[in-house]
Amino acid sequence: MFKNTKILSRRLSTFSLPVNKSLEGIKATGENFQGLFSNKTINQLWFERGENLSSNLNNLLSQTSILKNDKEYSLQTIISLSMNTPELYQLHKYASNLFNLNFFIESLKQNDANKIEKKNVDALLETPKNSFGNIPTDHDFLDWINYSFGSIEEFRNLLINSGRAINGDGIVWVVAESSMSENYLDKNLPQKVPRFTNLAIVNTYNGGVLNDAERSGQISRMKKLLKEETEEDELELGSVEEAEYNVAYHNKSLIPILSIDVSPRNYLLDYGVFGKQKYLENVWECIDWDVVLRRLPERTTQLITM
Amino acid sequence: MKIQTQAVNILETASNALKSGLLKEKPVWYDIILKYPPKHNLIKKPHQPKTNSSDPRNDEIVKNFKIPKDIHKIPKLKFIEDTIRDTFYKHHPWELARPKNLIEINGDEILKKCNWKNMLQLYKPLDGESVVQRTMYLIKNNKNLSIFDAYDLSRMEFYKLRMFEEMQSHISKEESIMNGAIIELNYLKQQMEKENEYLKQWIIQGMKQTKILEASSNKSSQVPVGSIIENDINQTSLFEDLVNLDK
Repeated sequence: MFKNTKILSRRLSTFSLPVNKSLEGIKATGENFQGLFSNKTINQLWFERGENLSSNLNNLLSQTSILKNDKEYSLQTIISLSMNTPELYQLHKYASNLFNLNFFIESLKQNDANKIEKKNVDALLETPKNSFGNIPTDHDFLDWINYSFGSIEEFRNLLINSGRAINGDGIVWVVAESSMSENYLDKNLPQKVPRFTNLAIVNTYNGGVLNDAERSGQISRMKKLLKEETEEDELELGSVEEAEYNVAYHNKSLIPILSIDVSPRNYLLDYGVFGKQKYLENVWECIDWDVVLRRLPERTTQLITM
Repeated sequence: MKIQTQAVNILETASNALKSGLLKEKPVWYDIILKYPPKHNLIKKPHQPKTNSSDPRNDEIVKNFKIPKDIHKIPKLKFIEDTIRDTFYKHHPWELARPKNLIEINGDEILKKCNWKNMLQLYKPLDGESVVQRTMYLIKNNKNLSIFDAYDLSRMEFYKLRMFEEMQSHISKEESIMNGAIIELNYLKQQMEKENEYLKQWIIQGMKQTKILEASSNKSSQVPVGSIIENDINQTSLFEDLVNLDK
């Protein structure tokens, strides 16, 4: 999946936090990340956490033997390699957390129009406001959003709502979704070119990575382990739950174009316990649509969907 | 006897009762009242306005005033809230399907606690009543707002909050499943499973019975099930007779 996003590459068996110019500037001057994070928070989120993650990852990498020394690996390759190996769980965790962190921070720009403020308990009952800015200007992208979500308002609502609804750590992703399942493409189309027709919103929890191949069949695999294998009964109908899983995770190719980290560490310091909605609204105003557009794959307008 | 409303009649009534034997002894007041009979009717009569009268009270009463015939009927109470409520539930019939708490003591103990500055309330779930109360709040606090605009505003707020509520329940389920939760069967599914057990038995039994039936019906012709037997071959089309007629 992470084919087109080569951000962090491995050099001499180590990874380091990529240099983000605006964040370096913030660190040097001690200013706030305008409109979203205070200086203290961005220090903790990016510099401290990022360095911690990368040093831990490097430590673990030096201990494992899955990687050949003469080859250069991208972070994404390490994530995919370690995904289904329980012994490499720690490695996978650090690698994916580092990738997620960079992916989120990269797509943010400063916007001094909004305020960073701590919310009190009244915010719990407030109805979210309808007014917002920072609408993407690219005509084709807007058209795609309208096609997939109905309108920019609906898109924003869905994005913020699904972010706000996550209780613990998690990330909301906006993805370009291929029209056909990878399984189908493998079988029927030798050249295997996924075509992207739809934009969608996907949640991952606890530093999970966005990979439909992993998710599809995950629950049924788990359940099969728990359940004693029984012979399949022709007369038995499947449950609604099973149908849901089969439809929800098709093993489609997903290309992430935007992510919002909604873990409490992002909003607790600046916005307080009740400030999640305000934080998400501020994030919307700070999205750098140019970065999002760069990540966007080519759109295919075809009618076949699966 | 008609109901006696006039105090003047009391002597007459008592005399009649004595004469007929209804009263056996004279009441103690009889002689006194006989000596000093009441001169006035003490019952106060409502003022009936007359068109030609010079009574000053007439000026205050609208001319041609008629006492309505249904004056004793309980008047129908009309509230704007009811209209809003009706409209809302007419447009959102499935909102009525949501469970509602009917236990209350005075009927207003929950509404009294609510502050309709926001639509979401700590003491009551989001429902059609929230839309009604929020609309009323908006009308009272915004003199420029028409009732339609106020209703639309609160309706949109309601949609927004309902959308979040639904998203939240959906995501919470997904999140807990991803964290390893196993969601138990609910009562409905349990019953379905139980029913399926019996249906399965019935299907197997039915299949057996059908085979026996088919076998016994084909016994005479000694032809295996499914093969074309004589009747099938000789079957003529509906139109065959017509075709033959022409020949």
